[in-house]
Amino acid sequence: AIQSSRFSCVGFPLAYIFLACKKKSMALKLKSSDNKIFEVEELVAVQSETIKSLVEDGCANNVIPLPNVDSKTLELVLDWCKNHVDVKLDEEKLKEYEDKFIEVDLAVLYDLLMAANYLNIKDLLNRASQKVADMLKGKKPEQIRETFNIVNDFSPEEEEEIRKENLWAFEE
Amino acid sequence: MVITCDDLLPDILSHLPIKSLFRFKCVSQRFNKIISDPKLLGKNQIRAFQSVHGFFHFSYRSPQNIRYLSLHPQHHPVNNSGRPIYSNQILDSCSGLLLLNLVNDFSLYNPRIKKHRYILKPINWSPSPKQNIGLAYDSSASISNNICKLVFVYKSVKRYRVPGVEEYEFKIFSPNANAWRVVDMALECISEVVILVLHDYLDENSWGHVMIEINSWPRRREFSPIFFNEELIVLQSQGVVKEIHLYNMRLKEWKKIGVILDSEDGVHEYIPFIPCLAWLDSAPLNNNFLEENYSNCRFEHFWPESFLKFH
Repeated sequence: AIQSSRFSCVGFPLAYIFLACKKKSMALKLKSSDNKIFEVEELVAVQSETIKSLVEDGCANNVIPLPNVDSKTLELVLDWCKNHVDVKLDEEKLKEYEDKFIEVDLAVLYDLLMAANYLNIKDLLNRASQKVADMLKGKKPEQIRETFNIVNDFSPEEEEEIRKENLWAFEE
Repeated sequence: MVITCDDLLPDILSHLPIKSLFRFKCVSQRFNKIISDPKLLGKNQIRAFQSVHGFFHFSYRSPQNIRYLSLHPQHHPVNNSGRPIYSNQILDSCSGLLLLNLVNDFSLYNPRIKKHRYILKPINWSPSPKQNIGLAYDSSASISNNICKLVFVYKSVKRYRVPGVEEYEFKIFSPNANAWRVVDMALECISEVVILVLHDYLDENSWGHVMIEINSWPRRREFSPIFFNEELIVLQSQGVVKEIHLYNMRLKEWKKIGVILDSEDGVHEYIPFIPCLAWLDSAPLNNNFLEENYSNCRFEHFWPESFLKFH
C-alpha cells in the first residue's frame, strides 16, 4: 500500500512552498517496519543523518527500509522534519509547534525517542529527551522505578548508603 | 515503558537538574553507573548547575579562617568554629571548582578529584577591594574539559577621569590559551563601589542584575543580601551576632542556616559553592570536606602534567 504522508502548507511561508515544489522531483521513498511506504522530499528526509548518509552514498534510489520505525511514529517524525526544513520559520511559531508536538503520552514519546535516535535527528532527540526529563524531574526514586519498570537491584544496605551520601537531594 | 537502550538514558538524564540526578543514583545499579560516569559531565549543560549547596565564608581580617555554611543545615549541623586551612584563601567557586590564592600562583582546584591546576597571577594582581577575580564558565562552550575562565577586574590607571567615576578594566584567562588577555571593554562605576560579584558574567560583553520581590521581609532587623538565584535569597543580619537566613521564593519560607559570632572581623565574604557532576561519585558533601582534602592530600596530584609549577 502506498501512502503519501500528510503534507499541509498552512502556516508556512511562501518561500518554503516554493522551495518544496522545486525539490519535489527529488522524492525519497521510506518504508516503515509495518511495510508502509512514505514518499517525502529529500530536503525533509535528510534531516535524519542516517538517511542523509544513505543519500550521499547513493543508496537511496529505491525504497529505503526503516525496520526500526513503525508507520505511526514515522508519520510523526516526518511531520517534525517538515517543520524543521532549513527555511527560516517564525521562531515563536516553531516553538509553539514543538510544544504541541511533544505533548504525547509516555509510550509515544518513547517511540519518538527511539526513532530519533535510530534516524539520528538531533533536535528531535534533544526535545524528546528534555520532555522525558521534565516528567522525571520532581519524582522520587521509587516512582522512577515504577514508571520505567526498573527492578531495584541494590541491597537495602547499598541503597541506604547512597541515600545517606546524597541526603540533601532528597529534600523538598 | 522500559528504557532498554543504553544510548538513550544518558541523553535523558543529561537534561535533569543536578538535584534530581543525585537523587536518582539510588534507582538502580545501572542508573548509578550512568550518573556516576564522568562522560555525562560533557553532555550536561550549564542549566544543571544552578543549585547552590552552601557557602564558603570568611572575613577579610582572617581570610584563612574559612568555614563552610551549608544551605541544608538539617543534614549538615551548623558549626561555628573556624577551620584554619593553611594559607590558601578561596577566591571564588564555580561549578564545583575552587579558585585558590596560593603564594605564587592561583590554583584551580577540583576538590572531588583532588587535583590542582596552577595559573599564573596577572602582573598587576594585589589583594585590594578595588579589584576582584572570579571564576566563570563560558556558557557557549561545553564544560567537558572544565573550561573555566578566570575574570580579573581591576581599577584602570588611565589618566583621564571624570570626578566621582572610576573605570574598571578586565582581563580574562582562558585555560586553552594559558594566558591572560586584556578584554577590549571597560566598566564605569561611581567611586565607593567595591566590585565583588562576577557571577553574573555571561559572556565578554554582558553583565546582569536581578530584582527580587520578597513578601515577608523581616523588618525587625537590617539584612543585607549575600546571594540569590531564581529560587532563593540568602541574607545576613547586621550587628555583632550575624544571623544567616535563607528565603525560599518558591515555598515562601524563611529558614535560619547559621550564626556568625565575630565582631571585629570587618567585611565578610561568602562564596557560593555549586556542586557539579564532577562530584557525583564523590564522598558525601559535608562540612568537613576541606579539612579532609587538605589533611590527606596537598598538591600530590597535578592536573594536567604540563601545569606543574612553573616558577
